[in-house]
Amino acid sequence: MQKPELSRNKPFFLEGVARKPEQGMLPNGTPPPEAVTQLVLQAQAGERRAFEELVQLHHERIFRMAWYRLRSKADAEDVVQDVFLKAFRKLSGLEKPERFGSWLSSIAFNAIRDEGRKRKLRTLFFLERKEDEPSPGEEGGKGEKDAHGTMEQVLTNDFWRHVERLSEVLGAREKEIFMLRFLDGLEIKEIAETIGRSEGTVKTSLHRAVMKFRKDGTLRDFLHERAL
Amino acid sequence: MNAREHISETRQAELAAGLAVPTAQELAHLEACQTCAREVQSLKEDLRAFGRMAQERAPASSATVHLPAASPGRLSSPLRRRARQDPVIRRQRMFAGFALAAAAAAFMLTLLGRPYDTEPLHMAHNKPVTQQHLQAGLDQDAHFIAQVKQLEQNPLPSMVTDLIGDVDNSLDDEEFILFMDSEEGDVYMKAVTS
Repeated sequence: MQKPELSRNKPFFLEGVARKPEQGMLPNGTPPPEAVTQLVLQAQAGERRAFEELVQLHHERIFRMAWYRLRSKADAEDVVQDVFLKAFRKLSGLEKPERFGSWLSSIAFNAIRDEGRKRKLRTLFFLERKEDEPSPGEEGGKGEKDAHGTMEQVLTNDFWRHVERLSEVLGAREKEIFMLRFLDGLEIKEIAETIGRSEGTVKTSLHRAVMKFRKDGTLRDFLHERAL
Repeated sequence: MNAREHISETRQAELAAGLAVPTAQELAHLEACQTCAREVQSLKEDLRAFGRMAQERAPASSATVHLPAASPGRLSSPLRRRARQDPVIRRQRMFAGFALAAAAAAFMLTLLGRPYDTEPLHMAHNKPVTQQHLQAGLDQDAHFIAQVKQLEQNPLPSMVTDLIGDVDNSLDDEEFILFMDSEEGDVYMKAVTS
């Protein structure tokens, strides 16, 4: 069966498929891949300033990636520090500078997993009490008492509760791939590189996860209400 | 699928998640069928809203990343050196390492598996006693008894008897009163007189 050519005025169902980066800056405000590759090459040659720019470019993304999974600002910041330190040390080993983003994501992925394991051990041996993490707006983590104070806080808590519920339905791999795709915004190829699986496996798991998301009426209703 | 049939839920999910590009037939159907188009659009928007909301509802990082003082290239030079190392030399070093580890393990096993110098007690006790051993034991006993008898027969040297004065080992009255209580004294006296 023939596949149609992508026209300039794409219908909505073709949006996001086979997107090409624009000249100059990308729509999301990040520099084009070529510029990032150039920075990586400069950093590999020993230019500290280039690496600092790379940190600035990816800092927020890696932090969010960690926070989504650990739900603790302090732990997420520790992970970010570890990730960039590892990247700093191993940068010369990176053979494909154009894959810097995926490479950094895979370092972050492993660092988050390690942090999760450590946390489980700490909880197991009662070194740390398992508590509900404070919501993003709550500085100092005072719990739900303050959350009722503002409508925004309630919405935030509700949203993450919905996400938790969805996570319980998804399998471990489905959950991870779904998060990498829709929370971290990685492409299929990047996800495959990050978790070290084939693109086929990623697509299969992602498809299953999307089917489960589709059936989660509560979460979708919540998203619809907020969108209105 | 023909133009009249709806797109399956599975396929709708694939299209909405960007896992596939619609075929010409599917495109035609989506342009004609509001139900399928709405469903795909709705799911796609929900997935986008999900990512957007997560981003909005997550905190911003306030910490800065601290990097070591050295430049990335300089810090990682040992790694590069290792990567450039001759594979033959690397293999030889690896074998040498294995050989050393094996030698150490063999040495430890030899130490641990060394036989006992002496037999275990239960085995030693169950051994039959030979006539030779028995005779040696009897000879030793006889020698010891002879030494004791010799000592008994030999009187004490005069120097010692002068010092002691009374070599008789029976108790006199004073000693008797001093050393014996009344009850023991009765028993003693009965034994002596009987």
